[in-house]
Parts: sequence; structure tokens; C-alpha cells
Amino acid sequence: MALGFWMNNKNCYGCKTCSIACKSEKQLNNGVLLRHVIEIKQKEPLAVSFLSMSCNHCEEPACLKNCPVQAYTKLENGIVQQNHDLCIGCQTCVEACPYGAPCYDEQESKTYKCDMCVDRQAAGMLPACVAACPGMNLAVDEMDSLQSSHTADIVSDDATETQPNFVITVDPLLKGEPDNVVVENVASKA
Amino acid sequence: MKQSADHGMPSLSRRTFVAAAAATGAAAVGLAGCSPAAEKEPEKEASPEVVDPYANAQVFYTSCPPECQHHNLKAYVVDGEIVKVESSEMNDCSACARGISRSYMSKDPNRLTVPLLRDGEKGSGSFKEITWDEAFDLIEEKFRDAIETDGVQSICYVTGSGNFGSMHGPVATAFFAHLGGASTTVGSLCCAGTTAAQVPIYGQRFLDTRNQIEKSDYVIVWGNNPSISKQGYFQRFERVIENGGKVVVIDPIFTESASKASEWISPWPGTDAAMALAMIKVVIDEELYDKDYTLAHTCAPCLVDKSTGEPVLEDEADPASFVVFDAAGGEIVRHDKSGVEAALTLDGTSAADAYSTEFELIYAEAAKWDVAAAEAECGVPAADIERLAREYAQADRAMIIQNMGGFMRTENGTNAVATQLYLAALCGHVGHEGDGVSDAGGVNEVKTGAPIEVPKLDNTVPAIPRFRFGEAVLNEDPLKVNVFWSMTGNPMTQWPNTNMVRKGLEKIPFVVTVDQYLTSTALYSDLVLPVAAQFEHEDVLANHRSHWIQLCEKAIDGPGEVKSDFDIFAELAGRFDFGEAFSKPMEEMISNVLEPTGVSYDELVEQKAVDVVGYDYIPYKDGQFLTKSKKAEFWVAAWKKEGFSPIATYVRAEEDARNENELASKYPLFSVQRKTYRSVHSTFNNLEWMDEVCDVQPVILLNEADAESRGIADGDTVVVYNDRGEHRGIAEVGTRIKQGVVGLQNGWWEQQGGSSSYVTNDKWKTLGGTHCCNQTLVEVKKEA
Repeated sequence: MALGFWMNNKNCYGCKTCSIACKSEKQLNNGVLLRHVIEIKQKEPLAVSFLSMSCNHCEEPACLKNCPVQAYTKLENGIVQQNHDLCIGCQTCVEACPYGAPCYDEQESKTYKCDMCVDRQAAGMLPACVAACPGMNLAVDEMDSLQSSHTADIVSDDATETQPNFVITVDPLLKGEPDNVVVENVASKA
Repeated sequence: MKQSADHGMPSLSRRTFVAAAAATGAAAVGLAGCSPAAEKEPEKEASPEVVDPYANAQVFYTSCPPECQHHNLKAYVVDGEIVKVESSEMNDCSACARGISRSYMSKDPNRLTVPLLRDGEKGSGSFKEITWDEAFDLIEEKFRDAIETDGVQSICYVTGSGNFGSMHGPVATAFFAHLGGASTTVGSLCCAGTTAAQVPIYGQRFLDTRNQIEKSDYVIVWGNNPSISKQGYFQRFERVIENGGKVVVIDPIFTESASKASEWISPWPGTDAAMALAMIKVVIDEELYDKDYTLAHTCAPCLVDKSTGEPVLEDEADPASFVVFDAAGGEIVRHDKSGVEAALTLDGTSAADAYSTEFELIYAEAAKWDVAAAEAECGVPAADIERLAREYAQADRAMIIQNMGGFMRTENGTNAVATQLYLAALCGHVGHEGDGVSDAGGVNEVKTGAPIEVPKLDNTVPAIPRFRFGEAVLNEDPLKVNVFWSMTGNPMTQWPNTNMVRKGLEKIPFVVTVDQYLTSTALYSDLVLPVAAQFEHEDVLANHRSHWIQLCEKAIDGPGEVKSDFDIFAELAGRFDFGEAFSKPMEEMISNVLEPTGVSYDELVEQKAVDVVGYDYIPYKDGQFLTKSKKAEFWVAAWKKEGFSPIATYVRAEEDARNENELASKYPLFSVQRKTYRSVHSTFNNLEWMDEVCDVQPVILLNEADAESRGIADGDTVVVYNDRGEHRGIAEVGTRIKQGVVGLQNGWWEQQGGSSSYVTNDKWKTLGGTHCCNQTLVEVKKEA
């Protein structure tokens, strides 16, 4: 049993409201971004496509595996949560995550990571990013349910060893899988 | 009063997310010790207690008021600080990143907090802090000097589209009228074409089709980019496609919208009227127009006298008494007489010698543009134009989205709007579910009042043409400007030909900018006043960009010593002895605005926002146009008075790259403006939050062929230039823009490298007074 995000890469038009709603909800400092929207420009066939990705709450989270102070926990529902009090700001998780999900806060000298708005969900609300998306192109649900209800490219099948819980409805114009672009971007920055 | 239910808003019920997941989340909190991962690390500390940071927050509502969709926003205030902003429950679609970023704006260290007086060269950014008392003393002195030396009209005030609330522009109008009649500028930067065409032809503008989009099966998005400019409800366009319909985007740029559409058509900038006329020709030649609708709801059969060129009226005193030729009775009768067979064409009738019908006049214009001629002029394949015309005419529910689009900011902008209005009316695609022509839409069928009474003035003050502001100031024609007051706007980034705007600001002895930030215009000002932002002052917003009348609540005091526009004017009103006009309580001023709407102050305070349009709203329902004749009136008297053709036409623009003249050979590339996700015009563009999620420098879109021939590669810094000026940015090279056209981004500040308006066309005056920024020729080179 695991909660995961679903993202509609086919219909997303790139407004970045998810990223900013997250910043507002979590009161994040400047420079700290827990959900990124990447733009994929493809020449043939011509496409301008967007992928919104935060933490994928992986089955085998690299952040959790590599954190020297055990700040990360995988909750029973699948959410990978960071105990921010424990974080020492070593950025090992930032380097370990193939998706670049954890984000280091220069002002605080600690790292933040998406917790799927566990507190909002506990109160019966949607995660801030999901609630804010004007296009309704984000959702959160049990992975079983997401996989059965969406014709999708399932990231967790083969993308990485971490087995992300992220289901993407892929823009049919795209030749490649959009999440691979994120992984390549993160790898090239490293 | 109609109440909108939850339409298209993200909610639990609309998601795949179900209560079970929430329950799982709830159960999991605090159970970390039982999770598989935790079992591997049994010694680790349990997850921290979940504390709801918003449990004790106070909640306030306001509207996001720049020239956009005016979403209702909700702020959470803890310990006197805004800690979070989100889209409120009183919207028909969700607010965007820019609105939500208001949670940062109240604590942004870049906000202005005290009045600033220039102490260096204009443009240098060198200012010293002064007190409000010193600022007011200075303003009073400069106003009195100006009035004494050259009259009150030498004080020129301008408002922009940065805040559509009633306590801004309307208060300025009242203040400067009380002062005796200051001057202002004339010329709409955005949608003069719609005003000049839709008001006379359909009878009224700002009537909105947004709630009908999903019911449409054929949508032409003509020269605009709703993924950005109708961002809250762009998903409605996507649903048209999901429902089996078609969305066609007409734009020289393959925009975000085009990428999600069924088809992309890329004409040469400024040629849209020729394309629409070609479509009309196809529709008439192939008899695809809706004859019954045309006869019942348009003035197509109305007679125009060949000798005078004027429509024939049965009664000169009755402007709605158009006449038609009754083919059955063989006589001329009033257009609304029942039981007649009005003739659309007069060939072979006794009326043919003396009269034409409006239908014949339209066809005469359309006949110049067969699809081959249109292909040559517009750069769109003839077969595509033909197919588009057929598909649009034959669709059950077809809509054209204009949305004050870039296509109308051209020399033929008014003609472009009008030809689309002709096409829609002739095809019977107005006034039903899923059809219509979309303007920007809001509460326009509900009238609003002025917050403060505006005294009537005897003197007529000449207005300065906004697009030629620099020349007007330098030449003191039509008047001399001693004081310039700029609020809710940013002339240095939005008005065409920025270098001339700059020269004007440099010449004016006393320039005041009222703003939240040190804008590009503030840099060229003598005095900069820090103004309160949303959630920092009280207001009401009732405007034609949203269906909701919204209360703007004050949640916090705002940073430093910021004052609202109203408070600034109220202080000055006291100094100039305006009596009680500016000392009314806010409740009374808001009530004045609401009075004609039927919504009471108490109702608004209780509900925060009231939808006065309704979800099922259809403009010009059942073909009832709002003209005097109740029909679409194609012949426009006002155009004739201005010296233009009273029937929409197309003539190649002065600034067109195909012209065989010096300008076109020197600057062989068209350029068009586009909007970005980081700003509404120039508002929000300076926010660091936007830097985190968007491009941080202007992007210049180039076709790969144009780039290659100039030795420009993707990512190069390039300069776009013409005789007016230069604009710098980073080249994005590819095929998402028509070859021969350069895409520029609107709204960048001086501090970010400067606005694209440094190069834009400042032509004045076209038909309707359209802004011609998208009719601009340039050359591009790699930065040396």
C-alpha cells in the first residue's frame, strides 16, 4: 500500500501554480522549491510540454537510505517524511535523490523535502499543489488505484532503483519519457 | 442574484483522491514506528507531532486586481503577518502562481516602505528617504506652482491596469476633477480594436463566453494565448478536445496553447483581417452561412444608399429604422416589419441601381481575398483557410476566442476584430450554448457606481496621445506638462517606443510614481510614493474581468509606512479644501459603487464575493444584439467619421516586412509580443519567487532559419533593434515561430534588462486608435 502522485503531462500547460502554492503553504524561504515544473521543447513533432514533479515518495528512497542521521521515515501509507529537527544540512539526500527532490535552504542551512502535505491529508484536505492546480492535472491516491485509472507511463516500473510512486499521463506528442528528462537534468547538474 | 456552484474547481470530489486515502494519511501519522522502513531503523526517533500552522490563523479575502481574471484570494494571518495565500472558494476556476505569490509580497524586502525623493540623475536609481509630511508638502507646492503658471491641465495623471479596484483609478478621476480638471492620456494599450468594433456592431462589449467553452465543439483561438491569459480556465479548452471537438490556434508563435490544441495556423502578423475576409468569401460562395439567422438577427439585408454611402433610415429621427428590400412585395420596408422576404442581394431588383445591402458591401470586401490572394498575403495555405472556413461555419457550436488578443494590437486591429464579428454573425454562431465571440468578460451587464462623485467641468482639457507621449511632452503639444502623476501602471515597460517615453519623463519637472516597488517608471520619477498592496487596504472590485463583485479586505497594515491610493488622495484633498468629498467612510464609498448592482454592502461583507453573471450566462442570447436595432449592425458610422471605410476591410500595413521600402529592407523581420507566466503586464515580474520557477531573463524566440543566417545559436545573448531602440535577451532558436517573425516577451523591467517596448511601433492613429506593438519591424544580431 503506497500513496503516490499522478501528473497529467498531456494537459499541463506550465503555469507553475503548484510550485508557488507549495512555497506558500510550507512558508518556504527564497530559493527553496519542493515542486519543480520543467519545460520540454521538442522539435519533431513540435511540442511544448511540461512535467511537474516533487518528491516521488519512492519505495526504496535514496534520501532515507543515505541520510547519516536517519532524518527520513517511510510512513505506512508510503509517504517519505523528513524529521526536520534531525536534519543537519549535509545535503547527502540532495545528492542521492535521482529526481533532485530535496532542496537545501541556504538561509537555514538545512534541507527540506515534500511530505505530500501529510498534515493536510490528515485533516481531509488535498496536498497544496494538488488543490491549487488550475488544470486539475495533479492528484494523489493509492498507487494501485492510480495505475488502474490512468493510461499512463508508470515511472516506478523501470526508471530507477528507487521505485518512485509517480504515475504520469504522458503527452502523446513526446517521443521520450518526460521523467527521464528530469533525471538527466539532475545528473547533469551534479 | 445568481449563485455559481462549484464549477471546475479542484475539490475532493473532482479528484481521484478519495476519502480512503485521507483516512490512510490520518492513520499513518504517528505510526512511523510500524512502517517497513522504520523497522529497519528501529532506534530512530518518531516523526514530530503534526502541528497545523494555520489552526489559529485569521482569514481575509481580497481580489487579485491587475488586468487578468481577478481571482478571489484568501490570506491566512498569524501574529499580524500574512503566512499563506490561496485561491478562495469563491472562484469559477483557480487562482494562479502570481496571485498566490501575494503571500510573499507583504514581506518582500524589495517593497517600498517610505516616500523616496530623487537625488541623482533620472534613471540612476539614486533616491533619499523623506517623510510623508515632506512628500505632501512637496506635492502641494508643485501642484500650486503648476496651476499658477500653466493651469491645472499642466498636471497630467495616468492610471494603468495594475489595479482594477474602485479605490484606485475612479478615485484619481474624482480627485483630479475636484482639482479643476487635470489632463490625462488617450489611447488604449490593449483592446481599442474591440471597443471600436464590437460596441457599434454587437452593441456592447465585455460580455463573456467563458462558461460556454466546454459546450463548444469548435473553438478558434485567434491571436491570443489562453494558457497564460485565461490560465485559470484553460482546461476548458482541453476538454473541448477531450469531448471530440477541435481547438484551432491562430498565432505566429507555437504557444503553450497551440501545443495543447488540435491545430496550429501561423499567419503573418497583422494580416488577420485578410484571412477572416477570405473565410467570409468561402462561407458566402459555398452558401455555408446561416441565412435564417442572418436575416433575423443582422443588418445584412439593410440598405445603404449608393449616392450618399449612408444606411437608409425610414425615419431620420430613429437610428434603428433601417430598411430592407422585400423581394416578395417588391418594395422597401422597415427591417423589422414582419412577413417580409428581405433580400440579401439586390441584383435584378428595382432597388439595385440606388442601393446596396450591407451583405453586398461585406462581400465586396471579401471578394478581394480569394483564398489564393489570402495565402499570398497571410502566409497561410489556401487549403487551410478554406477548410477552416468550412469547419467553423458547419460546426454545431463554434466559438471564436479574441480575449483582447495580440492580433488586434496591429494597424488593422479594428478590422481584424470586426471581420471575425461579421463571420460569427453570418454563420449564426452568436447567442447560443457553446458559441459566441469571446471578449474579456465580467460584470458588464451589471452597472456599477463611482465611489466618489466626479464634478462636471466646464473646460475641455485636451488629452495627450499615449503612444506619442514623448513627442507630446517635448513639443508641449497639445499642452505643457509640469507635473506627471503615474499610478497603477508602468509606462516605461508598457507604452510603445520606450526611449521616447523616457525622454518625456526626463523633461517633465516633477514626476510622481505611486507604486509598491521601484518600477522602471519609478526610476525616472522625482518622487516615489509607497502604496499599499492587496490585503493591506480596503476596496471593492467590480469590473469586466471577473463575474464576481469582490470585497477587498484589509488583513495587515503593510510594510513600513505604505498608504493606499485613497489615503494619499484624501490627504491632498484636505490640503486643497475639497470639502467632505474625500472624507466619507469606506462603507459609504463601497456602497456607492454597489448601488446600481443590486448587491448590498451588508451582503458583500457577509459573502465576500458575489457572482452577478451566473454559470449559464450566454451573451446576446438567442441573437438579441444590444444595438439600437437589436441586430448586428455591420456598417459603422464612427469609422466613416474618422475617415475610414465604414465596412471592415484590409489594407497592407505601413510596417510590414514585405513592403518594398527602406524600412523593410533595413529591418526585415516582423516582431510580436507574447506574455509569460511570471507577470501580468509588468506586475509580479520582479518577484524573486517568479525567478525560482520561470525564465530569469527575456527570451527572444527565433526561427532556426533566421537565426542561422545571422550566426545566432540557441542560448546566445542577442539584441533586437530598430530605429526606435534595442531590446536584449537570450535566443531560443527552433521552429516554434514562423520564419521571418521574432517573438518578444512583454513586461521586463529596466532592472532586468529592459522592456521589449523599446522597439515597438508607436503609430497614432489607426482605425479605432489601436496600439500597434505587434506591427513592429526589427533586425536581430548576436551581442558583440
